[in-house]
Amino acid sequence: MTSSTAPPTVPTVTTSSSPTTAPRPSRLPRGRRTVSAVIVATLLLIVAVVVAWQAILVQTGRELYGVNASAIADRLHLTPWNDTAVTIAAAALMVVGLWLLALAVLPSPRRYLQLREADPVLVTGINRRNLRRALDGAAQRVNGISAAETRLTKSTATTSVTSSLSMTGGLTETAQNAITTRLQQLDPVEPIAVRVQLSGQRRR
Amino acid sequence: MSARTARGNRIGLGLIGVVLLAGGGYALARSLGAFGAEQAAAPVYSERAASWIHAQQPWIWITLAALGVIVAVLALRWLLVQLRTERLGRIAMDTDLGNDPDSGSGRTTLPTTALTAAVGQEIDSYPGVRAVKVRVAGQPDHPELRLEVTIEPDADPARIRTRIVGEAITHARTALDTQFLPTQLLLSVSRPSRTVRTYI
Repeated sequence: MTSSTAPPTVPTVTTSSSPTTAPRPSRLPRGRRTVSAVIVATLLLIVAVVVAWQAILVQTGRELYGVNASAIADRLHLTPWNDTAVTIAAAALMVVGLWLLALAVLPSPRRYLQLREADPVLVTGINRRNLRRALDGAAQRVNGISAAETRLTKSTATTSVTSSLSMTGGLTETAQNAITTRLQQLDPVEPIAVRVQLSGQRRR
Repeated sequence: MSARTARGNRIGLGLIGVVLLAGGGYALARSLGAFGAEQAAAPVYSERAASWIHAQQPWIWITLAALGVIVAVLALRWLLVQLRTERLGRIAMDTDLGNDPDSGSGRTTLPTTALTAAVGQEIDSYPGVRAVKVRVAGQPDHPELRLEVTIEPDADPARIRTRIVGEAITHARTALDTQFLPTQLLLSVSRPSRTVRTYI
């Protein structure tokens, strides 16, 4: 690939917001509860369609479809509120309700680690899988290391390196320096400590 | 998906959660005797409830059907908005129409494809960059740049970021004649090769 510094050929015009109003900076994307929303919306849709359809059947003087209404009414007529099944069903309903409420109220987990930027309207992030890959790549560039795998906790990156060298003196320190340099290049806002373990030797 | 959809999901999940919590809480309290032993021993579907439903016919079924249809439409809309994206097709511009006193200045819109293609091509040309996705989000008069840049595992991320900020984003700001162009940069790293190296 070749380097190019030619500016984009976009017509020089002024966005309506410039130059006096400073818009808020971008934010890193967070979880948006899509899976939960799709599941709940689908169940709601099914229940609502079934209720509407059965109500229309009753209203038009037809039999309910696939439901024995009188049997259900008889069963509910014979079941008291303090029946164990009712208690369990009510508790289950409460648990699901609490879970959905918690999902709505609590902030969703962060998907990206924020990297430091000097420009306040620029926000940069990397997700944990890609950070692990970057650190693995830095370790694998060290001569003598044949494989590297990084585990990440909130504040520590632990990289297990494998070498096929018979003499591995200083290898751990060299790998640690390489990983620390890569981490400094990325510059996460929340500091991450680096640990390197020589996990084994692999014969060529 | 847009931030509006994320907010809608929170509201929708919260509302359903409150309804289930209230219904389950009432049933559990009644089941455990919070409203008295007599209420707890009463049948779930009492004679009184049956006669009330019977007395409300036919309106109860019409109301139930209407409610069902309304909830179904809302649920369907909730599902469809999950497909909504933040992608912006055009940017609103204030244009200076030149020296002609009659023409003055006007407002026009510009397709975002020109900007995204130019920024994408520029970043793609940097050494160490494997792939770039560029899109414009936000409002037509407050555009935001969204960059997804995949770099090689052995590339220097600091150098690439410096070039993106100092060149590509600066050029985009210059082209739009704005000093504020909120930008979100998401870095990805391509999978490192597992080849065994030769050493010292």
